[in-house]
Amino acid sequence: MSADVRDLVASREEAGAVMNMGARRRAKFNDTVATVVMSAASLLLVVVLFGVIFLLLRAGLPALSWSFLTTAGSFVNTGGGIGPQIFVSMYILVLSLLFTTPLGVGAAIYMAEYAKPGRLTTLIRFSTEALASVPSVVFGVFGAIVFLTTFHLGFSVLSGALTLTLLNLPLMVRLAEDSMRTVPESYREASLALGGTRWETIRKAVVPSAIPGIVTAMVLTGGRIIGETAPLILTTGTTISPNATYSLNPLQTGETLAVHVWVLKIVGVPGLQDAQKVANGAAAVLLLIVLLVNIGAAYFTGRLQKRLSGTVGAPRAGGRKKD
Amino acid sequence: MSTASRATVASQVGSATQVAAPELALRLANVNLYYGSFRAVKDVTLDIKARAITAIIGPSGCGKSTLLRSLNRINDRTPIFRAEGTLKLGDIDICAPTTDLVEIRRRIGMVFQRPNPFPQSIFDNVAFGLKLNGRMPRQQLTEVVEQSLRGAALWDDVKDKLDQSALGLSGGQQQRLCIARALATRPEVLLMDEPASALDPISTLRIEELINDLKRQYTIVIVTHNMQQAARASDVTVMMTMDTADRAGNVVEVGDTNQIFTNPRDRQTEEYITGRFG
Amino acid sequence: MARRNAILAQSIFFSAAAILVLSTGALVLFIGSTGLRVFSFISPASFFFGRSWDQNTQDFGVLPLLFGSLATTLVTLVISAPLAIAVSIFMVEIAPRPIRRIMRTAVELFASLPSVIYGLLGLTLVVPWLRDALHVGLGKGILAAAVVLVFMTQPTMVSIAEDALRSLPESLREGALAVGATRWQMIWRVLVPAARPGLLTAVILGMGRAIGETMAVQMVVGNITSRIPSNLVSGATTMPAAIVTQLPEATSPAHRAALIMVAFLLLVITLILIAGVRLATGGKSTKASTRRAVPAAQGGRPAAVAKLQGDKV
Ligand SMILES: Nc1ncnc2c1ncn2[C@@H]1O[C@H](COP(=O)(O)OP(=O)(O)OP(=O)(O)O)[C@@H](O)[C@H]1O
Ligand SMILES: [Mg+2]
Repeated sequence: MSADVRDLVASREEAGAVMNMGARRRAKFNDTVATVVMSAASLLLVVVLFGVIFLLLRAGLPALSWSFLTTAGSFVNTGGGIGPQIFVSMYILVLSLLFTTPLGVGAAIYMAEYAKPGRLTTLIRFSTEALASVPSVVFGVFGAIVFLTTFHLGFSVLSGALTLTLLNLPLMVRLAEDSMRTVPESYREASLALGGTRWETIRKAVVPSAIPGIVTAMVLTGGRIIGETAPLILTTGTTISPNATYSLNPLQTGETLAVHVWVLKIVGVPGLQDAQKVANGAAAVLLLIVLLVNIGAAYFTGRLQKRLSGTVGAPRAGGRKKD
Repeated sequence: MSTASRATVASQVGSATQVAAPELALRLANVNLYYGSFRAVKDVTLDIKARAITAIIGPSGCGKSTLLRSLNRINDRTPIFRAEGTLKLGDIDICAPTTDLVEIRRRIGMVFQRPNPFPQSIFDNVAFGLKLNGRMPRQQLTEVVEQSLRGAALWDDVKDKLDQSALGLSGGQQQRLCIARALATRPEVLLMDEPASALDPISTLRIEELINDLKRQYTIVIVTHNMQQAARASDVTVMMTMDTADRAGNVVEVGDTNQIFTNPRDRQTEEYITGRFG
Repeated sequence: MARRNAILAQSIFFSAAAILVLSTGALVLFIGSTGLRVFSFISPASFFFGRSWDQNTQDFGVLPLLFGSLATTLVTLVISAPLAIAVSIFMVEIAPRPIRRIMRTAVELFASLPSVIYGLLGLTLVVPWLRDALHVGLGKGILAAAVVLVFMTQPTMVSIAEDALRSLPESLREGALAVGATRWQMIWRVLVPAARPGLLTAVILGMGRAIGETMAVQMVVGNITSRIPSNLVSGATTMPAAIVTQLPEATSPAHRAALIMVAFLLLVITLILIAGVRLATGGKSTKASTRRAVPAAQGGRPAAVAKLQGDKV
């Protein structure tokens, strides 16, 4: 037996000394304490979240009615609503998605199908990352400089929609690209082998398979547009001209639902009846839209996932530990 | 598997025990191991001798890892896993719900198939188990780390770079580091699941020499696919196979390694060690 | 014909991608060049070191804004970083699967709540609570903003930290447990150090979120720009809050330029944070992490997609 192992073997006897009972009890105790603390922190978070959702709905739901959703706020009578603001929100949503989707999907196709590793691709990646993490208010400032001043669009629905397009482009590109990358390589190879050009391959194999991902991206982007505030205050404005409610003119100023909540709570609208009730109701509507968007996105994600596990092969049951 | 062959198993181990040290390290009785409703290991009754090397051999998927991993209850991490029967370490019932897992695992060390060093320094890897149990004087710590590294035949390779990351070591060195890490807490039993499968022949031989030295004081259970390794390095061999009907693994033969390799009693064992199946 | 279409298609897609680069460039260029015009009205020293921001006196010292942003972010991080790490540990290592699913849903919901909703909650819950509990001032201030931001930064931090912990190999956990570590010892001595780059990324991106958050902060911070705040509970401001409050009605060119310069500073800070993330993850792309920083994206990215796509750059 080698000398090295002799030490080891001899010290086997001292193993009892290594097992320090007090320290072990302490380790157990710490384990319990840590478990309790981490569980409590998590519980706190969940309780706070569901708590505030409950409070918001409790304050806002009583205000909701069909007329609340369809009429304008009133300076004369109580019972005014948020119709024009919902209209502006939806208008900006549609307009902005109209710009974001083709641009985002196009860029995603380029990144997923054409881009070769290299400096240019790295630059595009870096730009996407950078855009994704720039605070939204900075986009608002950019919109205020470029769309309002340079392009002379002024405070308008169009300025807002364009600003939000830039803001949401990275998210759209990323989600669309992700879903394209999940299209199995074999599809592409099969299509190319049949003599299809790259473009035909993309059109016939890649884009159709990526549609659930693209729809998810649209739903999520839509949710963000509905909730966005700061950039719109700087580009669309905070008022709706009383003689242009429900106007489709994209050069009108506008006030979205989210901005309206802020205006009512912080700036104040002198003379508006029921302002607090309207604000609470508007907040509840916002919240409900967000909940719907989440459910919608989860639905499409679920479909995407199902397809994925179909093509990639389901993992063996219980193969992953504790997951 | 029939009761008859289980009786054979018991009698074989019994006779082996009389010849060697009168001590049993681990005792398994009627052990059944399940993943959900699938029984991966069926009716194993087995005594594992202390201070000897027990090799578990058998075709892929017959439940060797499952059996080994239930001995230190590391398999409990698989949510659908369930063990039935009696597993004992000395007087301690390994499977009892009240059993202290920490104690079990300190007494039964484990080396995994793929080296799994922590992304920390070499020294910290070896000292890991020691530091878990409260403070130890630095000097004693250094001493035990050195002993363990020497024991794992790694000291000369790493003595000048103890503070470097363990991830910089080669695969073979990493595996020896993991052995050192397991040895540092001086367990009674060392479980090894194909510890040499990712290693080159020289590292493999060193590990075999190492466990051969260690058996003076340590009980070693090793799963291996390498017949020469089992023949060379072990004292007792446990042969497992998989039932053709329900794919449950079971033990078909247990015996002195020499006997198993020269004169197997079971036809499946013979076919397996001569390479005709599995 | 098919060939022409193919080339046309490729150039269209390339232009779409190029727009990303162009917009990033334009963002920096336009905001930078417009913002820097402030120095034709006031000296750099009075901008960077000025202790008052007041359009009546045309003093545009950025310190009250900068200090407000830093203090708010710092107070936020002190609370939210440990909270997020605790929650992510709970989700990955402790919670049984159904509870984890609830938590994941909760975190995603948190992520998608609009800023104004957080602001509204801050206004109706946090501010009165601080005012009545502490009896100082009106309750609006840095502390109120930080309390709101703690919850706002959780989704970003938790999901990145959770990813980081989850992606650690099972073999590390088994290795630690096999030498007799308790679960907490395994977490604290092996998993947390091993996940450090990811955890750091989580904190940095949470910080980015806190620095850039506008509406929720604007609604509870008090919007006092004229002085550097002397405590956490009296009115203050932050850079984004000042921009959104003042830019729509900034009439003097100096005021406007000064606000745009603040936006430029914000942009620079963001880019520095991204560089910080690259550093923390050892130069790897921040893609995986920034994707999670986009709040609404959290719901949208199936784990399977991430896994499949994980090694592509
Ligand atoms: N986590 C798990 N969930 C479900 N079934 C499992 C799991 N792990 C192993 N099994 C199944 O249990 C049986 C025994 O597996 P085990 O890994 O113990 O075999 P093995 O003898 O170690 O094989 P090998 O020699 O290939 O390592 C196999 O049928 C396997 O598919
Ligand atoms: Mg195995």
